[in-house]
Amino acid sequence: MEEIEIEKNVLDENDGIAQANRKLLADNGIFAMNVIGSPGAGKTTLLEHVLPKLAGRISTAVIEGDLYTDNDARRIAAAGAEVVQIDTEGGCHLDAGMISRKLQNIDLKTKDLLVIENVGNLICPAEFDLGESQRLVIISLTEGDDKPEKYPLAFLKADMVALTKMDLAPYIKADAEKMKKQMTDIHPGLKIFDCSFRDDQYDDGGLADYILSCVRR
Amino acid sequence: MLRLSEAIQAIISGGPFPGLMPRIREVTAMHEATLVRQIYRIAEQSLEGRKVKRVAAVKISVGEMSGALPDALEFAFHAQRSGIFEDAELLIEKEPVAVRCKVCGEEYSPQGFPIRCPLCGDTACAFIRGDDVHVSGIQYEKED
Repeated sequence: MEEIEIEKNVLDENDGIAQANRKLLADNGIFAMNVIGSPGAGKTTLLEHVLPKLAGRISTAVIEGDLYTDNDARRIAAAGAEVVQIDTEGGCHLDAGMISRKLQNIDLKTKDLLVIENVGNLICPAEFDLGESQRLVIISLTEGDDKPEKYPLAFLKADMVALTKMDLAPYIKADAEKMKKQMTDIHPGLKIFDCSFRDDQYDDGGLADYILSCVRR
Repeated sequence: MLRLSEAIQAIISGGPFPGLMPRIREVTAMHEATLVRQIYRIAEQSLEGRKVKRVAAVKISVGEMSGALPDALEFAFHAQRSGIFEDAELLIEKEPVAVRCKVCGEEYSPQGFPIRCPLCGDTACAFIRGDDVHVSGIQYEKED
């Protein structure tokens, strides 16, 4: 029996493509945001509400990762952003190669912000660098206040968190402060925005302004 | 009886789902399937130019904070076996986490969160080990 020793990270190929994506985006002056969260956390709803606040001030493109439908893409297009869809056909995450191919369909020179809405899943997408500038994790209060410590990798690799459905706090048991404590234990200094999005209520906790400040940096 | 909608939900979330059979958990942890495709690709590249009759084992190291589940990797590895890998085994070594303090440079193994340097007490650190999955070796039989 022969044996060879090697030392090769299984994500090397993905990470190489991610670095190329990152350079391409930086060369075009684009701030790119990878949005990760469980199904129903409110990723698309957040974009539906936040993107109109940015419209007219910056030019945004959105890459929509969706399992089987174009429901999310249609919602985002209605919010006024240019949308490119990735149909993952059941795949549980986006990878850097998928983004690389889609970047060819976007007029990068005219864009300031690229939002990548990942597939609804708090586990698998956390491992895959897409070449983003920052990673936004979206978690809703209704998911329960034990969730951050159950999915530490997502928060460890996040740059910012939107804690959504805060308007439901009076009606449920989940403790927002407990969730925030878990998040900052995992990732000290993590930026957390309290959000509520309903037709009669818009509160992004300063997220839109923060994104604008990142875009203009 | 497992309802289809629940099964699909489990597939999409890939997360712990009380009451589901462990088998479904394995089938559905699909990012491990992606990782396994890369494991095969790395193994094939590493064996290029060698006369290989059959591969007996591929050795990998799975970091505790890699986000990958060893059972799911093994399941996906078996599901994708073919050619010289037809009866290959996946040998998994679990790798504990080690970090380096960004303030004082101390290397230590954190015991849960918050990760805090035992020497200076700071929480800023960089991972040295235990946050990735890597291929560490291949055992094979030469062609006669």
